[in-house]
Parts: sequence; structure tokens; C-alpha cells
Amino acid sequence: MFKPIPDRLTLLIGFVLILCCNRHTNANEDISVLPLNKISFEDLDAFNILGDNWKIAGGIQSDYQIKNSMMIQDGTGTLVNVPTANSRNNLFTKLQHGDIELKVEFLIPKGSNSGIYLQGRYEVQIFDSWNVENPVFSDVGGIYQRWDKSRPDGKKGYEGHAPIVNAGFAPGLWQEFHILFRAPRFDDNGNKISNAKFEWINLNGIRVQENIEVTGPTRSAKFNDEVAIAPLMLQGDHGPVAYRNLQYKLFGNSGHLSLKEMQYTIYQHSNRYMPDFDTLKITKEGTTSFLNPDSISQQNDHYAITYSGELDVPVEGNYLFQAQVNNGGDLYINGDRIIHINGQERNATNSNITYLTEGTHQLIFHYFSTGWGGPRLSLWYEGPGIEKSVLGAEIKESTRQIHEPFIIESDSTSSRIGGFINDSGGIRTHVLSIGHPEKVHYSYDLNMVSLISFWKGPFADVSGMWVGRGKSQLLVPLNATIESRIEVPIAQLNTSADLVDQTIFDQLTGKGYTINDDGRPEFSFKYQGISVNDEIYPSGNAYTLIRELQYISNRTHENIVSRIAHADSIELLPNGLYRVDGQYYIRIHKSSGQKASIVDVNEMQTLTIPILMDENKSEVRYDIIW
Amino acid sequence: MKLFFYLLLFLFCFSINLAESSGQSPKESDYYIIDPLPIPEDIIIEAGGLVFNEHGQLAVATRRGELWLISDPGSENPIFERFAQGLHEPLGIAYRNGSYFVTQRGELTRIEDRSNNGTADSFKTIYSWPLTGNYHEYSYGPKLLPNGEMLVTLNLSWTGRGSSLIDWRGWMLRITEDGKMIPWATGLRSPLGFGVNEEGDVFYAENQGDWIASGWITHLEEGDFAGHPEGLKWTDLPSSPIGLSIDDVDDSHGLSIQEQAQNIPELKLPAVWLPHGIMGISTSDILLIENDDQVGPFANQLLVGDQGHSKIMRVSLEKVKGKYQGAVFGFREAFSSGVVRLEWGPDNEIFTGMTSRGWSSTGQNSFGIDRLKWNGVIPFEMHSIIAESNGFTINFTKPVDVETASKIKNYQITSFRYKYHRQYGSPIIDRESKIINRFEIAEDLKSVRLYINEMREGYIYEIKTQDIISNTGTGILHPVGYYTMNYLPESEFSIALEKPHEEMATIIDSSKNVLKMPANWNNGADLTIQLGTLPGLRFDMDEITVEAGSKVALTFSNNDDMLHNFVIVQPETADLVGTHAMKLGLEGAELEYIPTSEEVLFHTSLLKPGEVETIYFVVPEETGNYEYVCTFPGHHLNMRGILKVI
Repeated sequence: MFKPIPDRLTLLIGFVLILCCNRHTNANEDISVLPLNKISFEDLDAFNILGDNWKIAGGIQSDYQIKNSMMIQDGTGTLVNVPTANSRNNLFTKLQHGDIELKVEFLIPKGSNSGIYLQGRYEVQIFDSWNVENPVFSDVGGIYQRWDKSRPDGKKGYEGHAPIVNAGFAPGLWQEFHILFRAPRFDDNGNKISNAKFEWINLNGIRVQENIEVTGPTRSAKFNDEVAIAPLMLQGDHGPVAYRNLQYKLFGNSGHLSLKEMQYTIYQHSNRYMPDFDTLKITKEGTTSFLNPDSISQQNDHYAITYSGELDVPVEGNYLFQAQVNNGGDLYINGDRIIHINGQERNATNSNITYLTEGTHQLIFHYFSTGWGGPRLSLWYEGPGIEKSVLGAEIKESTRQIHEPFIIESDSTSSRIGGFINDSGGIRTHVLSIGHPEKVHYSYDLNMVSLISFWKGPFADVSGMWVGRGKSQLLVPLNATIESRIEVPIAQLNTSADLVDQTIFDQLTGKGYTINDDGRPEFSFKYQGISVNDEIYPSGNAYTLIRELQYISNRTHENIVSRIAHADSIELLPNGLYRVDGQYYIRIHKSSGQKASIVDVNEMQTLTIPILMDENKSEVRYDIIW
Repeated sequence: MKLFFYLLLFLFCFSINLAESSGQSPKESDYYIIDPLPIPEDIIIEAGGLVFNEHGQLAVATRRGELWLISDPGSENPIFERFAQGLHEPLGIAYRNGSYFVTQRGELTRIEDRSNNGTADSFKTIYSWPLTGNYHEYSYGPKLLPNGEMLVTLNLSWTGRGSSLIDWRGWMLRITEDGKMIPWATGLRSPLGFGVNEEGDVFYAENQGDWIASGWITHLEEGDFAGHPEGLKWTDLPSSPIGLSIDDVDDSHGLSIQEQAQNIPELKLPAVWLPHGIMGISTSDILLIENDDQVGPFANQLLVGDQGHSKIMRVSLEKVKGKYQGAVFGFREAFSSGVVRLEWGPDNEIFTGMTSRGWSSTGQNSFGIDRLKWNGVIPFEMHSIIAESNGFTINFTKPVDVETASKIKNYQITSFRYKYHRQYGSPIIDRESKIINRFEIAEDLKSVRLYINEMREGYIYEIKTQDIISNTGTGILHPVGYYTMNYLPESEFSIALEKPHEEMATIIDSSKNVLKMPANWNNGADLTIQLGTLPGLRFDMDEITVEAGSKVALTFSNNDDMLHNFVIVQPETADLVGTHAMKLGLEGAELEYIPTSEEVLFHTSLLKPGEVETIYFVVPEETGNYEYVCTFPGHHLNMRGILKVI
């Protein structure tokens, strides 16, 4: 549900993906990395327990307006810390880590403070920084400063790193860190030869730190020395906090896959299909240390190659292989086809996971090129403790032009921009995005008449549209985005199945929008003779959005509902707000007098309000808070 | 029927006087003045659509999704007001009764200013079509038809070839104001421009690519299939007016498009081919010349813009056997950016909507609006070319000088055609120089009738009148026309003289294009260079340094979606060679736009999108800053770099 701003590399890969997948023909879920390992929150077995402020719980709720509010439900899956006067301990994993990729969700109540200390020493800050416009090192996503008591007052703290942007959400919502950390390195005598380093930190899918070295433990670290491996520490002495879905991968010391005794045979081949190699004419044979067709072929295209040799595996475990080829290629290990790319697309990518024992395995790669883009064969792998890397190829510098961002600000007036939006369902193609000086922004699908996403802070990067040919045509939000997953805001509710959009989508007419006297768009359409008007706008300087839906008919209706949220889970909180997927709040204004209800639909939930029952004009108004 | 005064001259019975004057050499700017419309520095007008409203304001739809209203657009101080924002790359605009009609990528939209405060406040979807997200899914239009309906065209997607990934890509659609859509015709690839002639017939302009050997304009009627098979994917949808299936079009027999049309009745032949590289490279808008006061005596002819060559061409049409065909001539080049849209202003100026972002153009500005004004002086031109069963009649705008018009060598006719196949573009094939048996000059001196043998249907005829001057001594402004002979008129009588035709062949100097490593390079190349392209007509390296006398293997990968070559030339000669390449005419394609000249040192072949070629050469011994350049017509101004020999 988080909508990340892709970094440069994924933007480039994105260009390729955009060409081959879309909303209408969703590609299969792409496995491009090995899954992370999970730390169980069924119990506290994974931790060294000090005191009783940490416990396992079920759901957590919090009133975003009340300091340190934590409503804890019994159950498992969540790790919660409620410090008391007697017990306010930090929590250490039994897991010891060096280089680590870490992913964890957290929830923090109003005014609270916690932190994730890599190796118990280097803190990524968790803080209620809701709506802080210019975050500093002590805000969420910051790398906390170091501390030197011997320095003069005011200079004791140093080397703090503020996040690039405040990507944090409101108190009481679930947020997510994704971190790639490298431990410090030491020589044989134990002298440090390189600093600990955060390669990157994403908060709620947005890059907030990149390439940051830390010269030593940050303030309030458990230890003052630096080591190669140490436990992860979750800070428990500052305030209440909850964690869930803690996942990790450890890297280092497992060696690398290598190719040996590689032989190749080049054949003449001209069509777009994987050939029967026995029938082809051989044009060249030899040995090679690379899978790179450029380095051995005399032709530019219209040939096929068989590589065959030995794959040396240093440690047993699951290995992911990923191939990108132009045009077709099949990877076999020990006679099993691991990857198949049929050659019908340009630059297709495919991947698969296979279990390999330590030792030597037989590797065969069948490849063919028929033009369109020239020969290209790249093979990556990832293994137990081994980061994703290239196998058997010289890495070619991409000749793709990397565009500088083209930033659209909305500081003084609001901006409306038409452009594609990438969301979890693929590319949305009929979208208007609106940026406001109040620093809350949203995107609206004009075809599906639905609010699709919203974010705050800086507005958008349109370099994918307005630089060069504009090959992605994407408007990219510049901060962490919530996908509302709301679809058409009206439904005929005879059975809950009626809430599936396709059943009414064809009946929507008269779509479009008008610009009102405040310069804001009001979207409208008709459904079964009902005119629907939809306006979304910032609430003063509160960093929230207000949505006003108006339904007018020339008669009353039965079983017509306003549909205002659609999600995996919708909870009614004690304060009367609805929490949607743990991601944002809805506060319904009492206007139409009808009561909202949560309806289960196909293992999802929809928040509905009956309308037009005994009136021919209904209004629904609610705040969106995140 | 015109009376000819008889002036029969046989081919062998005149002498050639090489020293003869061809009169003063006219320039386009002697007749047609280009005046850029001044645009404030902070306004980006990447024009995708132009239209005038009834207040004389010029409305411009821009690729950044804005609509601008320009008051006093003919003056030196036009006033710009932003009327709307938030559209998605609109590439066309129309206006009627207070409403603007705009084609965005995904829908046709009616835009109005209901509160009358000078900015748009109502955006209503008239009809929306699906998109996959592929950037090449451009949507163009609308053009208003007299009955109130609108025409929209949908570009094919690009997947290494033109693809129709979703409903109606590659089609022209007819859409009513209340949102009813009628699929009208298909076979379209990149139909940015379309227009209506004085008869109300619809023509669209096509861009070279796969299946499309060269630019063309085609008359489209309901149910027509214009040649690119991808759009036929949707003919099984109930509203399709065409039953033809994509599998019915097969290029395995090497037939030309005109030969294929014998088997496929739905296949509509181009009314006029615009030979690629000569008559532009990226055909754009079509504009009807309404009367003789606008740009000279060309009423009812069509103007066709070109983005890459920043120019406008002129087309004369006639109907032969009930079908349109005709000739294309040069008209005016040197606009300041890529010409995308053409619109008449209130004072008979032509306003050009221009953008070259992503596709460089010979006009170096990245966007703009030029105003083209005729100064009232009639240029000496071929007004039109009319097909005869045994030749052509050339109509001139002014009486010809009898002496120069009576020299048969002053007329040169070459016929050729293109391949019809799934590959990108086509070489010129079956080229023949035609022998003119005799000619007649009309009594009013404004027509010349040329008689030739063996007229062939399905060929393009290049007709050159280089040295003919008017009877007042003016040279001809555009001495070349290309007539598309789909159908021969019924013959009145024929004089068949047996004359063998000359087969023409052009030879490329292969020593400059060595594709195999020379046998004596025992240790292989000293240096291997990988060169690619960047979008927007650029090589991915601006400078390459090599050692004098070293052996180089250079691999050029054309990862762009248009044709390119790579040519190494002597220092400071890229402009010269590039300009030379643009003027190669018909031979250009055959020579792969490599001029035969000493300045050219080494080069690759002309590579299609996705093709790769490695050339081997020995760097010159003399050090200096050599240049490399793509000599595909129109590319040399941007697509170049320095080969530093040290």
C-alpha cells in the first residue's frame, strides 16, 4: 500500500516494466529477490529479556490526539513496549548481525519516541514527527547524532543526519522502515578500516537516507566500542511503541558463485523461437569465462548460443536466479530448466528460486538473438548470505539517459497535472493530480471516478513526462503516498457482491469535472439517474484532506450507499475514527444522519453510508488523516 | 480540353548547351516570409494543437497539458493567458460555439469557460478510450466534420515495432458530441495529421516505420485499411467496419503495397507518397489551401507539415479511376522548430504549432509558433502534375520560357517504388530512369505534356524540371515533384516507341564500411568502442579519443526507435557532409545517406531500430579533431560528436 518513489535504478528498470505490464494485463508477481527471514512475534523467544516492559500482543490502537495512547489487544504478531517507572528497558535480539537488510513496521503514539539501533549502536530514529515540515536528525527517519560529553555545551552532539524528507505518518498508524546497513570493517589486528554505513533507508517507501557513514555509536547506544557483529536493539526507555513484521537478511562471508570450464557453441538461427540445437549449423565454438554474447559472437544478431560448464556453489541453500535477455534464453541447472524466456518480447526479465547443495553443478544457458535491440544476456543471482550480484558477465554501463528530476512545486498556487500514476495495481492512465500550497496533494482517476492516492510535503516529479519523449508518462509523488483503494464512491448494495466495481463501472456516465470558485476541481458523474459530485480539498493548514460527496436524484432510492473506503481491514476506533488498513484515518462528519457501516466483501472490507433513502439529496463529508 | 500547340521534339535531335543560364535562382523567402511569434520567456508552448476562436484569439494546446489563449497573435505584441491546465499531452484542439474540443492521451474532452472569467472551468469527458501506459500511445485530434461529428486518431504503441496493445490503437474513430464512437478506418501507424479537402474527403498523413516504407497521405473512407496490419487485431469487435484479419496481410511474397491491394480490396493505397528523407521524414498536419489569395494559385491543394525537417510540403491531387492520387512538391522549409500543426490565421497567415522535444528537428528551437505569410508574388512553380496514360502533363504557375522548356534534357523522370514489409522503412527499389519520347508545350505556355513509354501502376515518378525558367526569366522555385501513380488513366491513343530503359544502380564504397576484422589484424583491434544512442537524436558519447594509426573496432547499437547511421568525417566537415546527405534525393536511401565524398572516412550502414553493426577501421595518422555524425536527413545538426585523434 505504500507507494515508494523509486530510486534511480528502479526508475530505469521501471521503464522496462512499464512497457510490458499494465493495469489491464497484470504480469505475474515478479520474484526478483529472495524472501526475507522473519522474526516471530508469537513469543519473545527471539529476544534477550530484560524487564517486563516488552510483551507480545495482538492489535494495537491509539488515539492520535492523546499523548502516549496505546490500546493493546491480546493476541500475537505484535511486539509492544509500554515503559513504566520501574521497567523501561531496551530490547536486544538474540540474532547477531553484521551487514543486514532490515524491514520492520512500527506504530508510535502521539509524542512518543523510540529507535532501531543497528548492532545496538547506530540509531535510526523513530519519533512522532507528524507534520514537521523541516525534519532534523531527531525526527523520524533521522540517523541520530553522536554525543561527546567532553565537547563544550551546544557542541556535544554532532554528526546527526536529518532525513531527506519527512515521510512519517500520523501517530497510531503503521509505518515501515526498510534499511540496508553495513557493519564497520576491521583488519586482522582489530583496527577499524571502514566505518559503519547506511547504504539507504526507506521510510514508508520513500528514500530518507542514502549512503551515510557513521563514524561511531550514536547517542544512547548500548556500547561505546565498534564490532563486526552484534545484536539489534529496539529502544524501550523513551516511550511506548509497537513493532510487527520484523524481517531481515544477513549478508557476508559465504563467498560467491563462480563459473568454471565454460564452453560455448554458436549456431546460425534466425527466427524468434528457441531452436532445436541439434538441427542448427555450428558457426563457432570455444571457451569463455563470461556469458556475454558480445565478446564471442562475430555476428550482431540472428544466432543462438549454448553455454555449458560448471557452477561452483560455496554454501547450500536457496538461490535466486534472474535473467534479462534480448531476445530469448533458457537457464538449466543439473538438467532442470530454471528460467525460460521465450523471446517474444524485447529485453524480457524472468527469475526463479532453486535449492542448491554445496559443490559443483552443471549449468547450461541456451540463448538466441534475432535483432531488435541487439544481443543482451545478463544473469544475476542471490543466495544465502550473498547479496544479489552478476554471474558470468561483464557489467555494462547503461547508456540510458538518466533524467534530472523535473520538480513541480505548488507553493503559491495549486497545480493540476494530467499524467500516469503507478500504483499497486499497475499504471493508472487517466489521472489528474492536484498539488496544493497547503502541502497535501492527491491523485484522482478520471475514468474510474475514484480518489486513488494522497501524500503531503513536496508535490511531484514530472521528468518522466516532460523531459525528452516522456517515455514513462508518470507523475511521481515526492513523498510517501497512501493508496486509498477507494473505487467508485457509490454502489447499489443488494448483496455485498455489488460492491465489486465492474458491476457498476459500465453504468457511469457524464464524467468530468468543473473548477469551482475556489479554483478546485469538483468531479462529477451519473449513476442510475443519481448525480454524484466529489470534491477533495485541504483542510486549512491541518495537513489533512476533506472530501465532500454530494448525491442528487429526482427520487428516493433503496440500497444505494456512499462507498468511502475499501481495504483489507477497516477498524472503528473508540474515538469514532475509522482506521483503514492501519494506514490512514477517516473521520466522518455527522451530516446526512445515516450511520456508516463496515461491510465484508470478498475477504476485504468496505466502509459504506446509506444515502438517498428518504431524501433526494444526500451529502457525505469526511476528513482523511494520515 | 486544352489546346496544345505542337512542338514535337525527338530525343536525339537537339544539342546540349551546358553554358546556358537557368535564370535567377529564386529562394523560398522571396515569396513566403517566416516570422516567429514572440513568446514570453517563462512560457513553454510545446504546441500540440492550434485553433482560432471567434474572437480572433489563437488557442494552443501544449504537450505539458496547458491551453493558452493568445490575443493579437498576428501582432508583434501578442498577449498570452493561460486558459486551462491539467490535460494529459493534448495533441489537437478544435473549437465550436464557445467549446474547445481537445484530444488528451486517454479521452476526447469538451472544455468550456462557463463563468466567462477567462479561464476554463468545465472539463467533460465526451469519449474515453483505454491505454496500456505505453508512451507511444499518442492520441490526435479532433477534426470537426460538418455534421458535428469529430475525428480522432490513435497512434500504435511501440514494442520494438508498431503494436496495437489495446482496443482501437491504429484506428481513426468518428465520435459524436454525445459520446457515441464509430470505428472508421484502420491500418494507421503514427497518424498525427489529418484533414479534410474541399470535397469533404478525409486525408491522413503517415510516418515511416514498420510496414510504412515512407511518409504518405491517404484518403480514408469508412472501412479502409491503410497498410499497417496491427490495428486489424480489433476487427472482430462488433462495431468494426472491417472484416479483414491481421493474418490476411502477409509480406512473405515480396509484393509491393499496390500489388497486395490487388488481393486485399480493403487495402487503400496512399494517394501521395512523400519520399522519405526528401519530402520530409516525419509527416505531420494537413491543411487545405482554401483559395488563391492565401499562398498563391494553389486553391484546393493540400499543405503537409513535417516535424523532423521543420518544413511544409504542397500536394496536388486529382482523381484517376475514382481514386485520389497526385504529386508532392517542396513549399517552405526553415521553420524554427518541428512543425506539428498548421492553422490558417485571420489574415491568411499560416500559424505553425511546433515542438521538437524528444524528436530533434532541423529547426533548432525546442518549441514555438511561426507565422508564414505570402507576399503576393507568385513563384514560378510546378502547379500540379496530371497523369496521362502515356506520360504526364505539368502545369506551371506562370508561362514557361519556350527555349528552356523546349530542351528535352531539362525534364528528367525516374520511377521507383518501395517494399511493403514488416521491417522498418524500405530501400528505394525498381528504380528506372524514363526516356521522354517527346513533349508538347501548351499554347498559353503554362503546361507541358510529356510522353514516356511503359507507364507503370504502383510506382512513384520523380519529375525534375531543373533548368526551366519562366518567360520572365525566373527560375523554378521547387524543380522536383513526386507523382504517385496508383492508377493509369485510360489511354486516348498511344505512341509506343521501343526504348530500353536504363537500370540504375548505386554503388557504396565498401572500403569505408568494413564489417569483418581485416585478416592482417593479427592481434585484433587496439581499441573496441561501444556506441549507442540517446533519445532526442544523440549519440551516447559526445567525444571519443583514439590514437593515430590505431586499429579500432566500433560497435554502433541503434537503441533508438528511428533510423541512424554513424559516419566519421574529416575535421569540421560534419555540416558539409550532413547537408550533402540531405540533398542526395532519391539516391539517398540507396546510398544509406552516405555522400560519395573525400570528407567521409568511415561509416556504418543505415541501422534500423534495434540493429547493431561493428565496423573496423584504422585511425588516420594525422592528429586532430575529426567529427562523427548521423547523416540521416535532418539528424546531422544534433547527432554528432568529436573523434579526437591523438
